[in-house]
Parts: sequence; structure tokens; C-alpha cells
Amino acid sequence: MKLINTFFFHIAQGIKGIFRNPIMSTASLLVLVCCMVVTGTFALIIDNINKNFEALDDVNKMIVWLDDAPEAEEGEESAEEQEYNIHEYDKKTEDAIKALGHVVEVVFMSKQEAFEEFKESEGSDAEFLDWFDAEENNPLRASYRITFASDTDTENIRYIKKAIAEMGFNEENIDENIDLYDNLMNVKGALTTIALWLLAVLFVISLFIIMNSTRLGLHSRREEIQIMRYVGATNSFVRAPFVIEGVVIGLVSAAIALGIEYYLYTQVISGVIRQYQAIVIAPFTNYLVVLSVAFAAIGVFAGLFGSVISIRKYLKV
Amino acid sequence: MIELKNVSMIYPNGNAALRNIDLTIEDNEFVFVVGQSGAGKTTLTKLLIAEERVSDGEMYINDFKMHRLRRYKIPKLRRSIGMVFQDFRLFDNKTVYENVAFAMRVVGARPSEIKKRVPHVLSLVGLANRAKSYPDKMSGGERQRIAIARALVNNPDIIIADEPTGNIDPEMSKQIFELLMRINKMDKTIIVVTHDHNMVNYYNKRVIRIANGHIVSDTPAKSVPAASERTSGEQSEGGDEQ
Repeated sequence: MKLINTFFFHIAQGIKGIFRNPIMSTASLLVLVCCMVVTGTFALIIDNINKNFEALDDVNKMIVWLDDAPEAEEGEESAEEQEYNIHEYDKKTEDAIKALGHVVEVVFMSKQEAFEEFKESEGSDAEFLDWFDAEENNPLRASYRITFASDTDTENIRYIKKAIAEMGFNEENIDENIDLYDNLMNVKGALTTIALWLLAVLFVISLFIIMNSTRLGLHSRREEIQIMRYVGATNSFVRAPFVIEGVVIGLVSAAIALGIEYYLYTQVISGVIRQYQAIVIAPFTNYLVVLSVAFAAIGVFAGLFGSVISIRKYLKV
Repeated sequence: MIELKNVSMIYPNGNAALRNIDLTIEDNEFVFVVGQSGAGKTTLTKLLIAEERVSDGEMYINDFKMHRLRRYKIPKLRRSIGMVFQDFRLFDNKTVYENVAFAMRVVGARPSEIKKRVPHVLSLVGLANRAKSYPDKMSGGERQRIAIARALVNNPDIIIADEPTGNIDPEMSKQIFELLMRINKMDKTIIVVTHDHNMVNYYNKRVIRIANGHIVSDTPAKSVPAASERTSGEQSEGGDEQ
């Protein structure tokens, strides 16, 4: 009961402290909100890039086309056929590709299957395909369709491409999306770097403001603190309201930042991205829990750290 | 009991404020500490509340070994000592009741205890009917009574009053000393640091005189009744409030 009373006394004192220095409290709050909103926005954009990355089938896939076997004249083999001698499905080749690192799936698609798939994808526009026949004059090529693990980087893809070419495939027949992959990775990397820098700078500024806010609070309450000391208040009792003040500022900032982030994401970012129909955007509810926890953690940490530094520096109990 | 054995206190700038002090103050004693400004009275007070540490020697207050006192024990020590200052150190934005209750609040007292104890202490100091007043609307004597109530509210064993009458007129001063005498009779040790020689002479109490960091005289209470005791019937005010 005594502990509960003391706890609520500290909470009340901490909240009073916020209103004792309204300008500094507002400044701390605004900078922390900016810090959280900027970080949150970048994190959401980066995560959506990742999601779209995964949604883009071709990014982590490779297609190895098989040329039709040349109709060589009797007794002689073309130079090309000597070099690139794989023209049809071969279980050993499929197993060799599967054995390469980062490869998670290898699917062979025959000329006929490719024809059927293409016909299906064209739907009602497929009339022109009536000129062709899957068996006789099929213009499409057979292929191995390779899927990589999601963590495969461009270096690995280059290595796999080289290894497949060495199995006897024409390198020109191996399609991958290394350039697209590179571009997406670069954008993601740049956004992450910017976000981390902004987070660091804004976090340091908010710490500095919270420290000064606590310092002002200590100064304006110096007589009260002195009396508290003389009547036997413990160090933790004297310090607790200042720490609570910092933490409350942090938590209120987190709540405001979450509201702003919700508006930004659902109204602004989604609105802009919806113009590009190919891009998929995740609903805000997917991020609600993780953002709430992250914002609260940033707020509590900044409030706690800022006030504790200031107390240790300026309050000699 | 307060006991100082060969205690010296030297500030970091080399100024020796107290030198080789030997002093014993028994429980429930009333002691005046007198001396010129800079004699070492305030340093002695600071040592008693552990605001400063002894540089040399041994010092004991009840069960506390002051020369080896750990930081975390200081609040516990201070709860056994009530401090009264010349400048009152009250909150003008808090009522009389709130000022006194504050001292209980910060040591973690329950609201029910506070509600019971504060009115009792206010009646002891003669301020029962001023509980809702604000200190800045009250006289110096009344303000010092609030400070005494605050020092008393946590029921300490020792009350230290540093120039308690320095900011109040002679008539009020007499009332403050009468109040401290009454508190002394409630089994409290009272140490009054003062320049007020009239009051020191008026009351028949032990007087410790400090000069240049040394105790130059330690005069026990005389066996003959002091002027205060001869006129106690006229001076007392609300003496049955205990």
C-alpha cells in the first residue's frame, strides 16, 4: 500500500514537472515525435520495398533457356553444338543445378508446357497462336526455372550463373535480374542509411533537450529538493519524479508519433504509391504492434537516458 | 547520544573549520551552541546532518558511526534529526498543512498517518487554526513555528535549530524558545545554534562556545533556576498541548 502511494505520488510529481517547464517539455516532445515519425516512415517504406521485392517473381529467379538441337548434317556437328550441348531435359543437370548454393527450386518447363502457359496467359487474345502447334512448329523454348533463397545477393547470383554456364549452357541463354536486384538493393541501402542517420541525429537532439529540461526542473525545484534531503528523502525518492517526467514525455511522444504515422501511411504514402498499380502496399495494421513497441521503446529510452544523465550530473543528493 | 572524539573538519580549500573537538550531548539535553560568525558552528551543524564528513576523529549519533557513514544510510540518519533554519525554508505556494505534510510525504508516510499526525503537530506549535493559511501571509514567528512543526512531524530524536530567531522580533523569539523548551520535554534532544545572547542568558541551559574551530567553553546548566524558570508562569503559552 505504501509502495503504491509512493508510486502514484511520483507519477503526479512527474506530470506536474512537465507543466512546470512547458516550453522545454514541448520542445522535447516535438523533437522526439519527429525522431519517431522520420524513423517510422523510413522503416515502413523499406519494409514495403522488401515486400515488393519478394512479390516480384523475377527478382530472385533465373531462367535457363534451352536452344533447340540444331539439325546437323550427317557426319558433322556444328561448333556451337560442341560447345553448348544441352538441348533437352536431363535429370543429372537438374540435380547439379539444385546442388548449387542458394538454389531452392528448379523446375523444368518443356516447349509444350511453355506453349500452354503462354496460351493461357494471353487468354482471349491467344487467337494468333492458332497458327502454331505445340508439337510441330512451337516457337517457344524449353527452360529450367530456378528460384533462389530470399537472402541471395548479386554476387551469389553471378556465381550461380557462371556455374550453370560451365555445365554446358550458352551464357546468353541465362536470364537473371541482377541489375534490377542491384538497383533495389541500392535504394534500400540508401534509405536505410538516411533513416539511421536521421534517427541518430534526432535522438541525440532529443536527449540533449530532455537533459536540459530536467536540468531546468532541478533548478526550479532546488529548494524543494534541499528540504526533501533535510527531512530524509532517499536518493531514489528525489530522483524518481524527474525520471518519470522524462519517461512520460517519451510515452506521450510515442502516442502522438503513432497517430501521425498512421495518417501519413494511410493517407499520404499509400495515396502516392497507389498511383503505381504494380506496387503492393501492406496495411497499417501489419505494423501497428511493432511500431507501437518501437516508438514506446525509443521514447522510454530517450526519456530515461536524458533525465538520468542530467540527474547524475546536476543533482548531488 | 551525540559523541565527537577528537573531530576535525578541514574543507578541500585547506580551511580547518573545526579542530580536535571532543563533545558529548546526552539524550534529551538542551544545548545552546554560540560563537562568532565563522567560528565553526555551521560546520558542526553540517557534520551532524552528514552534509559534510569529518576529516579526522570519530563521531557517533545514536547508532550511526558518522565518520564511516555510507551514503545510503544518510536519509535514515536525517529522519532521526529535524532541522530548523533561520530563513524558514517553507513553500509559499503550499498551505501550512501541506508544508508540514510534505516532510511526511517524502519519507513515504501513508496518507492516513499524515492526516492524523499533521493536525496533532500543528496544535503542538499553536497553529491548529492556521492549517489552511499560506506562509507568506504569516508573521516571522508563525513561519518559524511551521518550520518547527515540519522538523517535528517525523518524530525525530534530535532537533537542530540554526539561528531560529535570527529573522524574528524579540517577543516572537521568546515564544520560539519556549516552544523549543516544551519540545525538549517531549524527550527530544535540542541543539540551538544562536547569536542571541539575551536568550542564552535567560534560559538555564548548557552552552557550548566555539571560537576558531575549537570549543573554548562548555558551561553546564546551572543548578539555580534561570530567569525563564522563575517567570515560567507568565511566559508559557499553550503548555498543556503535548
